[in-house]
Amino acid sequence: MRLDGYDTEGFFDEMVKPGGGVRPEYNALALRLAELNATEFANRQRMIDVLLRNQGVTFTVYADDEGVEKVFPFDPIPRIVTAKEWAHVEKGLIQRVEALNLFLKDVYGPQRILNDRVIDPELVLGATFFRREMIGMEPPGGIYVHVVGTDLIRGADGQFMVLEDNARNPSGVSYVLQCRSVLKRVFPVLFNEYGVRPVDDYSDTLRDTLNHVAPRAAAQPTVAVLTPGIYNSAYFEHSFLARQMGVSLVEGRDLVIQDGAVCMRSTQGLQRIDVLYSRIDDDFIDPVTFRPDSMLGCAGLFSAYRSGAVTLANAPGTGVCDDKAIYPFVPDMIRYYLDAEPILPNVPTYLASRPDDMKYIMEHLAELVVKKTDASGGYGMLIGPKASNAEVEEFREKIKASPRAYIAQPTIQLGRHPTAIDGELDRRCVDLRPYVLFGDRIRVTPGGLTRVALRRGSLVVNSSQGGGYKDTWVLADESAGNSEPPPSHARSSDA
Amino acid sequence: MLSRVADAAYWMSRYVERAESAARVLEVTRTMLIDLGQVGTKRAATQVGDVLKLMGTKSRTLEEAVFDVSDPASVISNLSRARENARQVREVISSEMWDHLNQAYWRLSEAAGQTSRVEDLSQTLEDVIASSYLWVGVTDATMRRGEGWGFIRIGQFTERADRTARLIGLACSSGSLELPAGGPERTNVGWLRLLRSTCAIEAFRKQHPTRVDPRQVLDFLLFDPELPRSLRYSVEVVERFTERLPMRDRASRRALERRFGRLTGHVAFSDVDDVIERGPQNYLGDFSQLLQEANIALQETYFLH
Repeated sequence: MRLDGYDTEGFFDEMVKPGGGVRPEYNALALRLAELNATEFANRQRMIDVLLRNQGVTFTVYADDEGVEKVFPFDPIPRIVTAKEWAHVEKGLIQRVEALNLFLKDVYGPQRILNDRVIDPELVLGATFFRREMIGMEPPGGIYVHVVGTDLIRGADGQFMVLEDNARNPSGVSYVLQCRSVLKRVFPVLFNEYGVRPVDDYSDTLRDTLNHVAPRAAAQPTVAVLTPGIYNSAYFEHSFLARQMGVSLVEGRDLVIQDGAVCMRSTQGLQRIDVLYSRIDDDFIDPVTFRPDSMLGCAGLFSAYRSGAVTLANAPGTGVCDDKAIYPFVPDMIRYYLDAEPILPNVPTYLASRPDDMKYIMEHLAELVVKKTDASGGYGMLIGPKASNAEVEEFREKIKASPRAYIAQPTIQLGRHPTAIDGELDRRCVDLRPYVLFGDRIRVTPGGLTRVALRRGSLVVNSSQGGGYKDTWVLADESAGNSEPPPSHARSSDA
Repeated sequence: MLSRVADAAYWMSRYVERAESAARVLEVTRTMLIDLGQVGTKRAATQVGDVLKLMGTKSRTLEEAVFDVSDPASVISNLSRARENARQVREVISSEMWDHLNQAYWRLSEAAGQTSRVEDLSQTLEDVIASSYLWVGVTDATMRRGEGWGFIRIGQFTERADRTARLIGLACSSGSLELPAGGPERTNVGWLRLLRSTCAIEAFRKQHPTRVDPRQVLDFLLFDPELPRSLRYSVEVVERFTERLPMRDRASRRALERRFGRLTGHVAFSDVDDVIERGPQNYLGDFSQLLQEANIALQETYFLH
């Protein structure tokens, strides 16, 4: 597997330098790859698929009336992040999550940021995921966002930027842990000469994070993971995390409220739960307080939470941070609450609800990416340059009809990474979702989920839209992988 | 542990045992027909029909009874349900248990998609049986002896008792209890099938090195205390593991003990003469009734509260 003929087309590439040649931290990897022939590589790739399938790392695609189980495509070529780059990302993420948490504490409390008109109150109070039921309720330790996954991309200059925050229910961390263990088994040779920072203490850290916010002073709080059930596409992850943490995986039907406390029905009777790591959208957790048609939650759960009998992680209402119309204000939040400049910049964003921005959006619609403010997973998007005229016009009408529901961003060429496609290394767009845990302090897991758009030229990395993923190696020290001269013939042309 | 999870662990184990038992009786029937030179005859159809009825399937051929996913009683459906239950209890069972069960399911699914699936039927059935052995061994080697282990064992041996009782019933309905006149070649195939379908033929021959006497077979499969598929052995295991389960409260514990006591008593305080005098079908009918009642008591105590 060589980079011969690999063309960066002038875009930012994680592995290949703008002038051609491999970036120093990738030298050793390029050498190892050059030693593997395509057949051997393909055999090992098949082994990976079998391993992942046997471990049940699958998601179900519902075609016809029969569910087909698929393995989420994993590309064995790792993405490398140097120690220096990571230190920057880590600092930036800690700053961002701290600000987001202060924002939540504020909007569900004194609402200073709204009164000071730093953010238009209407934007926040009218957000789909704003939960008025949370007003005046401060969770243990003042922590709202226990688990955050922030999506980062690299622009043309290689600078990391924040594309979106996932403060509600970020998924994917199980793939990070699972793919590392599989890669170590199948491609141990790739790890030679790299001090890759391990990721497998994630579950211990998550457990500590959840223990930390337990409402009562129990020596060993009872923690459980709340899942919608085996038909949820992320069920594997829910079960994986419960197993790794050694806690129960519960469904709504296992829960019952007794004397104001949340209990699970166990073979030894009712057992009290102190902390629920909820992987159910917050409007489904309690049919009494939120959606009355929900069969997934438990009646009375929210009042148990408000009374302090149980802690929910993440807190209900954190989704207001995921709102794409509130996203543009995160840098302002950092300035407002932390009196600091943002370390990780945002992608420039136009709000259709602002008249000036609206005008710009209407004039440049075919060049922009348009997103629905309360959607995720790559749904409800328009990628202007790739869309037909009819699609553009359809969005124009939608945006005009409900400006609050849309934002637009310039079409950013995501950074690319060599990816094994049919026995060759080919360029594919990647992003990075690191995972941040907020317990006694804020911790960032070294690495994260590098998602790959497997269709050439595609900018959409979501698993529901034909995406795959890579292992992400954060290097322990700066010189790793840099011991040998570059063997590559990769070139870089201006496109 | 969670009641729902205990329930799933119990059924996971039952379905693995059921798949294994079905695979074995299908394979035994298949080779028996070849031995008797009866493939394609009317008598063969009756033999196959009996076995399919025993499995409770709507399939009409051995092949369908293995591979038909739309038939809830087929081997593949049983294995698939075992796996679906395992998926719900992954945080309770060991990863190795999940891995092996999942692999067994995928191998059978792949076999179902092969054009040569009829020719390879024997191999496939043997693979299902071996997978079950492996899984039980992996369970034994990797799982903590806690509550979950208890429910898995109870499920396995409840299913085993139920299957053995059904197989004995089939042999009794199709074969005479008298030793046939004439030489060993006159041995009733129904009783041989019973011994093979319960993995008991070698053990039986060691105990009874003469001819296959139906009374002795009956005695052996009902009451032998050391045969791992006899009714007596199975209900004793079930009772032992039930006693070790955590006590919910005194009343439910006593109700549970009463049910399981009746079940083991039914086996412990009978001998083969009583059984033949009452009629084996009556005896087995009562056994199934008691097994079911014990089963319901267990579910009400631990799973359905």
